[in-house]
Amino acid sequence: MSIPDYIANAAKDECNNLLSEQNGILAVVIASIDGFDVASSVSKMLDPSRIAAMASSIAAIGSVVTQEVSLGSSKSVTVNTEDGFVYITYLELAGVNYVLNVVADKTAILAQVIYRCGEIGKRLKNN
Amino acid sequence: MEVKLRLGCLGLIKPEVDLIRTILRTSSRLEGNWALVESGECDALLVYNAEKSVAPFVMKPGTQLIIIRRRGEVHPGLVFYKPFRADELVDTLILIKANFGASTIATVSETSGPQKLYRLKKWPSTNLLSRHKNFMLLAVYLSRGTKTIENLVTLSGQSEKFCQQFLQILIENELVVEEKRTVVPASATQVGVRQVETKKTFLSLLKSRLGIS
Amino acid sequence: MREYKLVFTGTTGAGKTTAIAAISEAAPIRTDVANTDTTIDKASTTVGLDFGQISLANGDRLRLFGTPGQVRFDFMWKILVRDAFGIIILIDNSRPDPLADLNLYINGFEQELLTTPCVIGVGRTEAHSHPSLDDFSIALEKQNLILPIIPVDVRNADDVNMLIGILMAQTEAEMI
Repeated sequence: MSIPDYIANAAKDECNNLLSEQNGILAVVIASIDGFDVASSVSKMLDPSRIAAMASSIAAIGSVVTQEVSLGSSKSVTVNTEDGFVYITYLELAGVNYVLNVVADKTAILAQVIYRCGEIGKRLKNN
Repeated sequence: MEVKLRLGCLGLIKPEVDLIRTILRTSSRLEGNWALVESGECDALLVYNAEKSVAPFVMKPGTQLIIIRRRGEVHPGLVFYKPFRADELVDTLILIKANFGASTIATVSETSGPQKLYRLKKWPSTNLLSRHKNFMLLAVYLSRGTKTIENLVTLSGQSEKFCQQFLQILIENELVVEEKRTVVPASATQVGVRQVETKKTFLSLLKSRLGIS
Repeated sequence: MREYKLVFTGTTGAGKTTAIAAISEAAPIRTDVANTDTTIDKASTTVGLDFGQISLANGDRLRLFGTPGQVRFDFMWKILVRDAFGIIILIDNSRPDPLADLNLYINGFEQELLTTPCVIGVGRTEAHSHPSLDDFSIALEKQNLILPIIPVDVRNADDVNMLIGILMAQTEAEMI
C-alpha cells in the first residue's frame, strides 16, 4: 500500500523536525502496522526498518492486552529503560493507521515527546 | 512367557478395585501386561498417602507409587485422579511399564558387555517410511542420539524382531551409523530423575489429552 | 502447576494461526493486522504472536505460541522460542521457493535446533508436489540436520496432533 508522495514527504519532515528540535531524541520512525518503515529520521547507528518491525509488534501486543482486559483500544505503549525510553503511539496517514515510534535518551522529557507526537498526529491527519 | 507386572490398590473401595481388575484384564493397550495383586510385592501401588504404612503390600526398590487425588488437585509425579478415567490409568501403567523395561534393560547392558549402537545419518525416504506405519516413529527415535535395539523396543513397544528388521533396512540403504561401545548407565542424580519423571508424566498426560496413542 | 511451551513458526500463510486454533482449548489470542506487503497474498499477517493453550489433567498447561512469519520479526522468534519443549516449522509448498523458506527458519532457529526437538510440516502438497519431502530432507542433510518431515493439513486437528506426537517421540528418545 502506498501513501501519496506529499503525505510521505510531510511525514518525513515531521520526523526530521522532531529529531532535530527536541533534546535527546535518537530516532523517530513511522511504521505501517505490519512493520514496514514508511518515514524516519535516526541519529545514531539505528536501523529504522528494525525499529519499525519492533514497534509494530509492541503496538499489536499492547492492543491485545488492552482488549483482553476490556480497557478499550490501546493508545500508546511506553518502554522505560535505564538510559531513556521508547514511546509508541498511533497516527493516521491518508485515513490509515500507522505506528509512530520515538526512541530517546534520558535527556528527553517523556511528557514533551507525548505532546509533540500528538501535535504531529493532528497535522498529518489534516494533511 | 513374560511375567506380568503387579498393581496393588490401597484405600479404594471394592467396586473401584473390581473395575480396575476388569480394565487390567480387558484393555487391549495393556496387552495383558498387568495383574492386580492383593498383598505382597508389587511393581506399582495406588495409594492415598505415601508416608503411611502400605501393609499388606511390600515395597521393593523399583515400586512406583501412584498417588490418588481428586480431580483439580495438583500433585507432582504419577497421579490417579478420581473420579477416574480408564484411559488415564492405562496411560500411567504403560508409562510405568516402559520405565520398568528401561531399568531392567540397563541392568542387562551392564553385564552383557559391548552393545551395538545405531544413529540415523540421513532421514529415510518417504517411500521407505511408507512401507510400515511404525517405521517413522522408529526413525524419529534413531534421529535423537544413539540407540540400541533394546532402546527401540522400549520406546516403540514394538518387538525386537520388528526393530531389527527396520534397522536392517536402514543399514542396507546406508542410512545409519553403527557404533560398538560398552554401554555405561548414566549415573542419575535425584534431581535429574525427578525431572525426567515429571517430563514423562507431562508427555503421558498430553498424549491422553490429545488422544494420541 | 507446570507450564510447557510449544512454538509454531514458518512462512506467512503456512497455517501457524490455524494450527493453534485447531487444538487450543479456547480461541487463540492473535495479533493480526492488515498486510501491506504485496508479495504476500494475504489480507492479514501476524506481527506479534498467536497464543493458545491446552490444560492437562494434573493442572499443568501447554502454551502454544505462533511466531510472525516474516524474517523482519525474527526478534520475536528469539523471544518466543525460549524454553520451548518443541518447535514446529510449517512450510507452504505452494510458494515459489519452499526450500528457501525452510532455510530461513533453519537459520533463524539455528541455536535452538542443536537441542530442541523440531518437526517440519509441509502443507498443500496434494496440489503442489514439488519440492518433494525427500527434497526437503536432502536440503536439511546438507546442513547436518536430520529432522522428521511430514505432509500436513493444519485445518485438521489430527494432523496437528501428529506433529506434536513426533515432538513427543523425540523428547522421549532423549530421555532414555
